[in-house]
Parts: sequence; structure tokens; C-alpha cells
Amino acid sequence: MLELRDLHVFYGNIRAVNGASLRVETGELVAIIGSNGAGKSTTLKSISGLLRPRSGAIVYDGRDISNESTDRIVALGISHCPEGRHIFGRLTVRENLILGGVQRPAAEARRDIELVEDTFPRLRDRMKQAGGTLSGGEQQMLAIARALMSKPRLLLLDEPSLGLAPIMVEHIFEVIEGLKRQGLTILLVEQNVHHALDAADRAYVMETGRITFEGAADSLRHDPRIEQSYFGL
Amino acid sequence: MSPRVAGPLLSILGLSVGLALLDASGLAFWQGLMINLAIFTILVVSLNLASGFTGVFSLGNIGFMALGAYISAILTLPLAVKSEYLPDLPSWLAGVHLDQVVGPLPVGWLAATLIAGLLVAFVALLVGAVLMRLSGHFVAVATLGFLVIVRVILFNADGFTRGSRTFSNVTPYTNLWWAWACAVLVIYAVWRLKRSQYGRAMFAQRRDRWAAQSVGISILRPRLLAFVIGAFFTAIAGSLYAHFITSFSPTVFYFDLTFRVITMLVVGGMGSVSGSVIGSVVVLALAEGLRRVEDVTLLYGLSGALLAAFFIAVIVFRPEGIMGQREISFDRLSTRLRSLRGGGGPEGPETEAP
Amino acid sequence: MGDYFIQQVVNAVSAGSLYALMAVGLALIFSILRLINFAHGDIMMVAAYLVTFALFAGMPLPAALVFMVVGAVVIGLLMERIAYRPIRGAAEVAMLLTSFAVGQILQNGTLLVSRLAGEPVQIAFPAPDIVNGVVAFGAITVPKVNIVSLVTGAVLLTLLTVFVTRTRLGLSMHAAAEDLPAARLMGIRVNRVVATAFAISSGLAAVAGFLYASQAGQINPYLGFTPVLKAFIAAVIGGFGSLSGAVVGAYALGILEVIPTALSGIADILPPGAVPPGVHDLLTQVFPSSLGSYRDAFVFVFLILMLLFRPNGIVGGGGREEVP
Repeated sequence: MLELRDLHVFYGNIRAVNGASLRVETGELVAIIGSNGAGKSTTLKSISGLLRPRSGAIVYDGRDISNESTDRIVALGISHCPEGRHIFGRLTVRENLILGGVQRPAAEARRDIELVEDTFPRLRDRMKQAGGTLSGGEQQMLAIARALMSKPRLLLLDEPSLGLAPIMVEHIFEVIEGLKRQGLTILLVEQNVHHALDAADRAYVMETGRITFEGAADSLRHDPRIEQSYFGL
Repeated sequence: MSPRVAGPLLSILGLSVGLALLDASGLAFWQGLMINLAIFTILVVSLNLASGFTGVFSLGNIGFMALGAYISAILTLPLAVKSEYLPDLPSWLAGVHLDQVVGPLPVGWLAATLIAGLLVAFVALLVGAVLMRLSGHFVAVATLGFLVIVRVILFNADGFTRGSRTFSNVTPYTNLWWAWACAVLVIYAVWRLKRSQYGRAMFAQRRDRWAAQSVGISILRPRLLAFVIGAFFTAIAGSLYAHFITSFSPTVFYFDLTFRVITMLVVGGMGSVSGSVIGSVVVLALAEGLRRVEDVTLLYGLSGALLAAFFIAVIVFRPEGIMGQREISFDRLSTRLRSLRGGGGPEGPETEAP
Repeated sequence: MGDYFIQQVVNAVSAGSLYALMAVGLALIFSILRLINFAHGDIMMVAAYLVTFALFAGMPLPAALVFMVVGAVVIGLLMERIAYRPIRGAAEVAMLLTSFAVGQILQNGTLLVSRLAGEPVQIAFPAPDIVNGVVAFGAITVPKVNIVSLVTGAVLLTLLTVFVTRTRLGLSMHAAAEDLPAARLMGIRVNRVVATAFAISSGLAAVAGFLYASQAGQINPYLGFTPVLKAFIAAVIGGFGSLSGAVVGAYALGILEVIPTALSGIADILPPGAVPPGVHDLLTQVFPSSLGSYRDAFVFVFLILMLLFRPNGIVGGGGREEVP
């Protein structure tokens, strides 16, 4: 479904992604793990068009989307739930959700808000509340719910568990696994390697802008080098 | 003699010869244009000091020019004219007449110009101590507010300025020589300042305000210094202007003039003294040329619109202006000349980093 | 004496409406682009010319007003497309200076066209009956234009509020102002949002231009300068970038502005014998009749004080973060 080929991305003159290649097949949950500043978020931002890669290709459904605008990419069915959640804090929960479906017919999007309420019952009572007043976990749910409002076929999830209480992390991963079961393709960037590898089918390890390991999540979980670097054993 | 000394000296010599020829030629239009160029150069170089060096964009400099013009004009008015022309002046001022001339030197006017500069610098110190705490576009708007305040005061202080009526009868002291002597002095002073530790502090706080603050470099002090010195020179330009044009009203010192000076600054390059000189020449030439076109075609407004369009084009396509922060370097210039003559020596641009 | 104060309040509120129409447009654009659009006042000026020429050409008033608004919107969109889009995201001061240049182009362009049409620099504004003359309420007379300003301001600002809070495009505007990268991730077309903001702000400026010209009685290519500065002050008072803040700030400015004028007249309107002669003289001394002519200086001192002491109010529209 998605393939990155030899992607190079720069922030000004600073090289953030240095020749990364990876694939995501339809229906898969693929995780990218790695330490801070490895280029994981930058990779996602290039896919969603927030950043322009300097070279390399981003092939989605057989076409190169690396020069498309973000709104086109959303229209093509890719939704990016950014790190740090980026809720519109002064808008209500409902308004946040409406904006998530801004490209779709209004009536259809309105119906979907009800479906989202079923997936995230905690949001139901907070529909008229300003997004900024929610707790961290609730904001993360809102961010995922909002990203789903565009009816994506591929969901990019950036650090969904960051800064959340352990119980909330469990809950968020339940939600992610539920989405996978419904057939959604997910590319997940996550520092919580344990949870990420538990949920993922396959995983890539990224270090200083390059992919250094890849494989089935199970095999990576038992790879001694991964254990050493990321499980601190 | 090293090119670093010889270059400027040769330039001044060349300028002097040029001015002498122009003076002797009796071409009044060109003489006037050159005086205008000198005054604009001072305004642009001073604004560069206050804004280009520090990055704190001031739109109020023409207010300082206005104050300089009025102060010097009032101070130099001969007694006979004064009592009739400004009957409402307070007595302490009514008796002042700095119109003494010793030999070829109009010492009264020179003193008045200096007084105007110092008074305006003092005003700038007060205003700057308040406004230089702001930054970004807010400082621009606040200094624009200062310009409006000066204008309102000039319009309303009838007893001093004749309000909205034209202030005329100003003695025409300004000539080619005085104008260019001041311009050269200002260029030299600002150029030296750029290389001094004060100048470096101005650029340092511009480059990285937060870093400068975190290592304890005051951001206020270099900004204020630049603002006050810039105001002093601007007031001198005001005095030169007043005694060149000899009659004016508060409407002259407003936004159109402000914008003209900014255009020159941005075109030349914010932070470059030689850029300011080049910018003044280029924009004044362009403006004069377009004005000619306007006079012939009677399409009034054309020149202003085209100049503004030119300004936008510069901001879009070459935001650093012609020179950026670089300066013309006589060292490199001479090296290049020598290498052109086959004398060898390293090839390099005739500019150097600040 | 009560009448005197009612009169001043009416003046304050109608001036406030005018400033509100202007300030909201400035704040709208600032909130999304961080651009202080000084050419906003020149859009207002151009609109006044458009309606003048339309009326001169014999168009009926409603058609002339539509022509004015449409013309102003078109010019606003062109200005965004040609001048502001290439420098989007540039340094604040570069954007500000560009807006000055755009203003100069509009002023000189208007001068040029007006000259070619054989008009003088200063044209008497052909104010239609609806804004011409006064209405008497008992002892107080109120210029019609003040009432029209007040009503128009209320109606348009209500419509704008509905648009911004109830439509997806309005919400998109809000989102783009609050967090531009996140707004892009929603699939919001930023160019469309920016263009809409310019269209709305130019349309409002056009209406303000019509009302301003009706009040002033004459128009010239430079009339936009002072109003845009005032609108800026209003926006600053309200916390720049916030629409409701801009409206509040505009009315506050309207009130602030009449204070010097009101005070300067205070000694004269006191009935004879109401206060001892000494107090009367003191009032004339402290509040001389010339105080009113220092009005603009007074409000700009206030602006500077606001910028200095209410910095948080000023960046009220902030909160813009990069998606990390």
C-alpha cells in the first residue's frame, strides 16, 4: 500500500532522514521504533506532506505522492495523528471532530461523529467542552478520533502513548488493536517498544535517519541487539 | 599606503573633485539633486544604524528629522524676522538668533544644528528607553505611533511651528559642501561604529536575542545606543533639509518620506553601510527618472506605484538587498584590480563579511 | 448637560462600530498569517472611491454598494495572491513592510485613476440621503451616519460571528489561526482559508470605507492611513488576533477617543454658577479647548502604553506550535 524508497529529508541544512526505505502492506500494523531524533516523526511528516523530501519516492497505491499537498494526501486516504496531539484547544470536542472530516460531505461527517462516540465513549459526555480542557488521555483519544474522521485507509500514528499514565497507555493500545482488527492499515511511531512490538505485525528500527533493522515484530522482540538497545537488558 | 586607507581617501578626493566641478558648472538641478542625495544618504545610514544593525525596525525616524528641522530653523531665524513671524514664541526663545557668520563659516547655524541634534538625541533617549523594549512588528507600529504624535504636536504647537501653515524664511545655509561633509562624516562614523565592540553587540543581539540575553548581554543597551545615535544624525539631516528647502510644513515629514527612506535601506541591504549609500543612489535615481516620466506623461501616481512594486520585488526575490550585511572592501577591490592587471593575487569578491 | 454626555456616548459608539469593522479584518488576517496588513486602510480608501465613481456614473445606491464590496474583495484577493503569498512565513517586519508597499501602490494607483478620470485629488463624497443629515431625538441630534454605522456594525459583526462559529470554513479559519500545521493535517486547504480571510476583511473594510467617507464628507487617496492605525490600536487593546477582542477594543477606543474632546468642552457646558469661578478657570486650564486636537497623540500614547504593559493581551492570538 505504501512504500518509501531511499527517502532523504532535511530541515534547512540538517539531515533528518538519510535514505530510509520501508513498506506497509494493506491491513498491516507496522511500527517504527528508535530513539529520540532518529527521524521517525520526520518520516511521517514527509508522508503526510508537511515536509518535502529532498529526494526519494513515497509511493502510495502505486503513485508517487512526495510532491502532493497535505490536503490532497488526506483526500487520498492518509490521515496523520501528530505527536503531541495538537488538539485545537479553544474549539470544542465536536468542532475538533468536524474539522477532522472537513473534506467529506457535511451530513456524512456528522453521522460519523456518532460512530466515533461509540468507539470512544469517554468523549461522548465532553462534546461541548473545549478541547484544551480535556485530560492528556482524553486528548489523545480525541486526536485519534479526529484523525479517523477523514475515513482514512492508512493511519499514521505518532507517539500515541507519550506522556500518558500506564493505564491510559493500555487503553490507547487496545483502541489501536481494535482499529487494526477492523482492517485499518496503520503505521505507528512509538517509543514504548514493548507495546509497539506487541501490537505490530512488522517493525522497523530507525537510527540517525536510517533503517537499521527490520523484521516481524515477534522476531525483533527476541533479537538480542534490540533487547540490549531498547529493553535495557 | 594600504588600500584600506587609500581607498576611502581616493573616494573622498574623487567626490570633492566631482562636487567642485558641479559647483562651478552652475547646473542648479543637478546641484539640488546631489544635496538631496546627501540628505537621503544620512537618513538611510542613520536608519540602518537604528534598525538594520539591531533588527529593531523603527518607523519613527522621520519624526526625529522633523524635530531637527524645526528646532534648527527656529534657532537660526534672524531677530527681525522672528518677532514678526513667530510672535508667540516664549521670551527665552524669542531672543535667540543663531545667525552669526564668521568668514565663510555659518557658525550660528552649525551650533543650531548641533543643538538640534543633541535635543533630538535626548528625546530619542526617552522614547527609546520605552520603545526599545518591544520587538518585531510591534516596535515598528509603536515607532509609527511616535511619528503620528510628533506630527500632531507640530500641527498644534502654533506658537513654535506656525502649525499647518508653511514655515518659510529659513536661511539657506545648506550647500553642496556642507551637505556632503555631513554625509561623509555620518558614513564614516557609522562605518567605524559597525566595526567597534558596540556595533558587534548590536548585531549580536539581532542574530540571537535569546542567546544574547542568556549570556547576560543586555539587549536594551545596544539597541538604545543605536536608536539615539541614529536620531542625532537624522536630526542633522533635518537641519540640512530645512536650510536647503527653506520652507516646509509638517506634512512633509510623514509616511511617504518614511517609506522612501525604508525603500532605500531595504534595497541597499539592512546592516550594510555601503549598501545604504548604494540604495540611496539607486532609489533616488529611479524616483527621479520615474518623476520625469510622470511629468511628461502626466500619469501622476505612476512613480509611487512603480517604486512600491519594485520594493515588493526586492523583498520577494532578494530580501537581503543589494549588499546584505557586507561592505565594499577596498583591500579586496585593489587586489582584484591588481589581478586584473595581471599582477596575480587571490581572486575574491570585493566584499567582506561584517 | 446630560444631553452633552449622551451626545459624546453616541459619537463614541458609532466611531467604535467603524473601528470594529476595520479591526476585525486586521485581526482575522493577523491571527492566521501573523501579518499586520497596513494596506487594509487603503482597501477602505479604494472602496470609497469605487462607490463614489459608481454613484457619479449614475448607478443606483444598492448597485453601487454591491459594486464597491465586490471590487474591494477582488482587490483584496489580488493583493494576497500577488504580494503576500510569496512572502508567507517570512520575517514579521518583511511582511509589514510589504503591506506598506501594497498600500503605496493602492494609493498611487487610485491617484492615477482618479486623475485620468479628470477628478481633483480631493473629491466631495456624494453621500446618499440615508447617511446624510441628522436625526433629532428630543434635545439631541445625531448624525444619520452614526446610526447607520452602529446598525451596520452590529449586523455585520453578528453575521461574522455566525460564520466563524457555525460553518466549517469558519472553523477552519479558527483552526488555521490556532495551529497551522495541525490544520493542514485535517486536510484544510490553507490557501482557501487565507483567501477567505482576505475576502471577508476586504468586504468589511469596504463597508467601513463607505461609512468613513460619509462621515468625513470628502475623500482622497490617503484617507486610509489614520483609520488603519486606529484599527490596529483597537486590535491591540483587545489582544491581537482575537476577533471578539478586536470588537471590544474598537468600542473601547471609540470611548477613549472622545475623552479629550469631552473634557475640553467640560468647562463650557457647565451651567453658569454651577461651580465657583475658581473651579471653572481651573477646568479651562487643565482641559483647554485645544485638548481635542491632540486626540490622535493621546491615543497613540495609549497604544504605546498598551504594547508595553499588556504584552500578554497583545499576543492573545498566539499559541502557535510546530508539529514536532
